[in-house]
Amino acid sequence: MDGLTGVLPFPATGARPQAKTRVDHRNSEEAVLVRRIQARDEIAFREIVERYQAKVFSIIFGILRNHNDAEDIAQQVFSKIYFSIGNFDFRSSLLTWIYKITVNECYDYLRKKRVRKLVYESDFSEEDALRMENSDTATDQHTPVDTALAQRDLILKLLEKISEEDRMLILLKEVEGHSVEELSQMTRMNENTIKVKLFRARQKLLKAAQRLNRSGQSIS
Amino acid sequence: MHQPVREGLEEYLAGRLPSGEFESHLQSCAECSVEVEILREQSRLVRVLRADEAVEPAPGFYARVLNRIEQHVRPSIWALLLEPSLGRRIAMASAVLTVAIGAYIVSTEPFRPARMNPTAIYAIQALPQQDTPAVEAQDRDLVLANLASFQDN
Repeated sequence: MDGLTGVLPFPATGARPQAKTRVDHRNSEEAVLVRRIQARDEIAFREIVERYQAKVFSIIFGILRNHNDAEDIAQQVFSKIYFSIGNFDFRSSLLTWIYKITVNECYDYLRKKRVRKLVYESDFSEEDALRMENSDTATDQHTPVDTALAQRDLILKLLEKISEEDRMLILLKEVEGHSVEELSQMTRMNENTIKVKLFRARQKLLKAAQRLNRSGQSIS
Repeated sequence: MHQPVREGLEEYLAGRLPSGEFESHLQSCAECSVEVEILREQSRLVRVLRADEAVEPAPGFYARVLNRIEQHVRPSIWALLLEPSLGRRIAMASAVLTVAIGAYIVSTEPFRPARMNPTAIYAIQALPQQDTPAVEAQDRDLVLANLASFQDN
């Protein structure tokens, strides 16, 4: 087990990178749409919103499980897309770019929420805070719904400890169900690189879990 | 983790069976077998972030997005003040005003000899005003001349 939890070197594999036709994100139908938005075409922007709104909502809802928050964050995501589409450089697919913005917005929201909670709790006495903490833990251990919540909190916390790129790859592979080949096309990296990066990201997640365990937080 | 397992790991975690080499290695290598099991558990944990239901926004979402964009476009008074070109102009005007006020204060300040301490200034002010005899004689002549000219009129 120790061998796994340490970051293992990933030797060069014997297999050569597979020579697959790379997707050119500059000449896709989406690229035309992006260029229209860059030229301030509002109809094209509306098309992007309508095309991706369900996807963005699903990503947010998967992470936060709250409809009201999903609406607010989705608005923020599309507003960000509108203002920063000028910087979109076609190095990845539009979906990958939107996915990254959406996940980052979710993490931003979670960070702000954590700060608000800390400020709120600082108004209570130490005794009250301890009582609240204990009651939270007790609920987590007893009901399956809260176990699922605790699992989600844990994985979100662990994913926060790894780089944005590692997090994206893991989420696109595990949550969105993309294959290594699809990830290769979306990111324009070869399949072997994707495999190496995924393996290292998984190792980092394990290390993060180990650190969290050591710092006394329970993983259930 | 050994090479055959690393090679087929992603396929295995995606629920597909990789090459026969992967399977046979797992059966013979206890260490790899344990590691793969842990990674499979990790993979399952990440998948709790999958949205298990289709989520669609409430009608009018696009209008609300445009609203949000407009809020960002319409700057507040503070944003306007912090806007670089206006900010530069305000800073320049403040600097000119400060220099003008400073110059006015300096020009209206009464003259005080340099390097004179407060005790010396007080000593000068406390001295009784003594006119010299020449000045006294000059004053007297002036008074007499005034009286003479008054009588002439």
